[in-house]
Amino acid sequence: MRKNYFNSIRSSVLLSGLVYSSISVAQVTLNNLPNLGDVHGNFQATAQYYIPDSTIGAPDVPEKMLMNGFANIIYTKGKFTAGLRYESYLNGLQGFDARYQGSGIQYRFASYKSDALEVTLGNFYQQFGNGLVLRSYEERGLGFDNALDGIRLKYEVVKGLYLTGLTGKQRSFMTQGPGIIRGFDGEMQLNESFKKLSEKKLRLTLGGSFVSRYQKDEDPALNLPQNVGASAGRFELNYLDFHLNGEYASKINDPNAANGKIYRPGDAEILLASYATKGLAISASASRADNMNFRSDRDASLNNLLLNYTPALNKNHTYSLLTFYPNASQPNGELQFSGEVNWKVIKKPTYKLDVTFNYSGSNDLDTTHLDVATDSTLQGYKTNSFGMGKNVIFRDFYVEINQKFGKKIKTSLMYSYQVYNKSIIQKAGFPIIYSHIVVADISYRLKGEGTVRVELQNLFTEGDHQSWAQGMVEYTVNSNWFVAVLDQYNYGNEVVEHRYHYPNATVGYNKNANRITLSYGKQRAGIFCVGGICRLVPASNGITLTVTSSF
Amino acid sequence: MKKILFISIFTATLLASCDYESNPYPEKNENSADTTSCASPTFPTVTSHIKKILIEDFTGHTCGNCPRAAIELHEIDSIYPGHIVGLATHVGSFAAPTPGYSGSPSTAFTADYRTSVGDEYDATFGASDFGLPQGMFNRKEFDPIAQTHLKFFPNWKAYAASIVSEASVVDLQVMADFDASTRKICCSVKDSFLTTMSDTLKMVVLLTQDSIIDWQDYIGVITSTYVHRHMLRDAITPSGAWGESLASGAIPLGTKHIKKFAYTLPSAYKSIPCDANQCHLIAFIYKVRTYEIIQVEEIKLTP
Repeated sequence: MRKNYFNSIRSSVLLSGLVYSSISVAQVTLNNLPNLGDVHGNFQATAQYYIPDSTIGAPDVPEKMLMNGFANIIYTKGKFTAGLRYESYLNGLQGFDARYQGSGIQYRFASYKSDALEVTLGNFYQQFGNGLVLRSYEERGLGFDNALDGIRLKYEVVKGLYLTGLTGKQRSFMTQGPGIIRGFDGEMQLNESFKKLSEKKLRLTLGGSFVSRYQKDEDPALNLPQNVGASAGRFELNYLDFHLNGEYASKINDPNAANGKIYRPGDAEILLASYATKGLAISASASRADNMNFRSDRDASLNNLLLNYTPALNKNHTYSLLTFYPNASQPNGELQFSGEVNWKVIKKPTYKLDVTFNYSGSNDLDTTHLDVATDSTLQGYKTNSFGMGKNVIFRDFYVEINQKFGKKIKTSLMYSYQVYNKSIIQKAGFPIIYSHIVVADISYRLKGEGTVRVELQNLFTEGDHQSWAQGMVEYTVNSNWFVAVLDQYNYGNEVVEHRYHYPNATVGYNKNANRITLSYGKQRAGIFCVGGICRLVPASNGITLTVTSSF
Repeated sequence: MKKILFISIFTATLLASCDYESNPYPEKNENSADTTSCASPTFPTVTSHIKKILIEDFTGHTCGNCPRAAIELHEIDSIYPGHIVGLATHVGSFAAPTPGYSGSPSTAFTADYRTSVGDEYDATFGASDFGLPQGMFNRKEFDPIAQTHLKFFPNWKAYAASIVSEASVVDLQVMADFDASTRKICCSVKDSFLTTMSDTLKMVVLLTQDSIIDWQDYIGVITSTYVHRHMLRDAITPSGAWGESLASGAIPLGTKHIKKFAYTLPSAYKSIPCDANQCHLIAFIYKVRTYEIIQVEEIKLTP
């Protein structure tokens, strides 16, 4: 048995080598021949030509043109899958970390599934539970990729009991981080495992995970723990229309650059509840994170080499002025809450109305900093209570009204009141920003295939750079072509000369699996976030060409 | 079978890996002394440079095969005279006091030659987990795929031969003064770089005691008159086993440092008397990232 097991690993390695060496031939020939497997993939390239613009702070880019591009190529045959991703940053676009530079195969893997066992060699993404101790994922728009490179085994021991074990190193731009990651997760879906429970309305899943990082202690001044472990336990419960998900995680002493090298253990809790019935959905969630910044390199900063993820619970917005001051999760210390009601009030063929209310926010923790002179074990701070601290980090009170008049007209109206503590979310030394945002989105279907969509947005604030407005008109000619023009205008800037316009025009073409867009315009400096993980984007002025394709 | 294999692999990862640090600061060497009263010696000018090899022999008194490794070490020393520095580090259960071991009297095998410094090296390199004897050659990995610094003694001559001709990258000189009345050691170490390099380096000075006569399982036969050679007793460097920071980043050719260390020699380590006339000092410089020793030097403590 043992011999077979290693043989299967060996054969996977051999096969993956063969696939890598003959992949270009494979795409052409394999698809035309029966039983030789399938090749599929996708491609994307974004090139931007930069024009320096000192008024909006767009820097002079020496290369004039920068490009990010990648292609995924996946080969599957039966139980075997292998793939690679070629990435090219010549040089990386502005706003992406400068360490994205050069080209190469940054992701490659081979995996084989034999009955209940799945073996993956090479790169893989993995999340345990809500991600409180491990979330390895990719967010291309953010330039975020913390893929693991190593070995992962998944095994269904008995029906409903899933074990995952992995070991690997994490991607850091075009190289790898120094830490070695070992992880283990077990999950039991009780209704699947026990026949008696299979028909019950109460569905329960229990899980537990453990992740450990090894990194050598090279600090002459401190005894740094070389092995830092984090563990978590979770449950997921469904009963009729109710859903409840909870997880608790803790981490042992992990002095790192993000927590100021303190030895205090960390913990995080999350509880998500929801109820959904016909026409009505209610959800409520809360989470707490205390010193839970966990990375595969204790010296890493910003978004680099993050091992875990503490979700941001606030409402995810897509309209630009609603995301002008976006929340970012604070794994070092925060208490978050969120509540949402979505009600489909009227649902007739001629008129539909639904409304959404959301209130979410976060505060810091109720802590007292310890005096450096007496804090001999470097605990950093102590918590006075489990509850909230005095400092608001983020608030968002949000109302959305969607209406549909027949088949032609659709409107969305939104209002949001946001409180943004720039000193905590970005960097210290700024006052809190209070803003009111209104958005109207109206789309009208023309005769034939065309649609016109108009977006009007306004952000009122006395803080930061004061008020902004944005207008956009988008005309979708048919399923192939669309054009859009927009202007973002800082009309309220208290410095009259700084009341800049940021116009932009885009034309796009779609055909089957290919999409080409060309845009010209200015972009303001700002923060771009996905799921509470953010990056700063500098101002720019120029032409952008994006090509995406899949096969 | 598959299930058992799978579960056991991952139970091992669970057990692997949590280092709780109750004290964030490295422990200072308790025998460290003040260097202010130490004189500054004049180092002689050296024109020919040899890169020496530190052969670390992880051993224990109840380890029957360990004397084979010790013999191997001394054969290598006689093949390359002036190139080899020996260090015997007693670690693990083979080095634990075992009174009455293998039919010996109850007063035999009572000594504990293990040291906190040796235990740290053992914890890092994993010698006693692998099984004794084990050796290291300038803490070089040789084969990075093997992921171990440890080398089994039948191959020791080949490892020594493969690195004995390496060019010296740093000139290292050690001088020491021992005050017999106060038992204070003043040790000065001078390094002078013979090439340009870029790395993070640390310096360690160890104290060894030679020719301790005591019990040993000698290839299956117990003997009370085994000569324990160059046995690790302690670190002289104030930060202990891993030493003091020396240089980081670009190190231009000609870079020089003189480091002073002071240490009060105890009259005994764990009730085994320490005769200063049997003591040696071993100084070495290593790369923090890989542990590799780039130069080692040894002197006798007393003339």
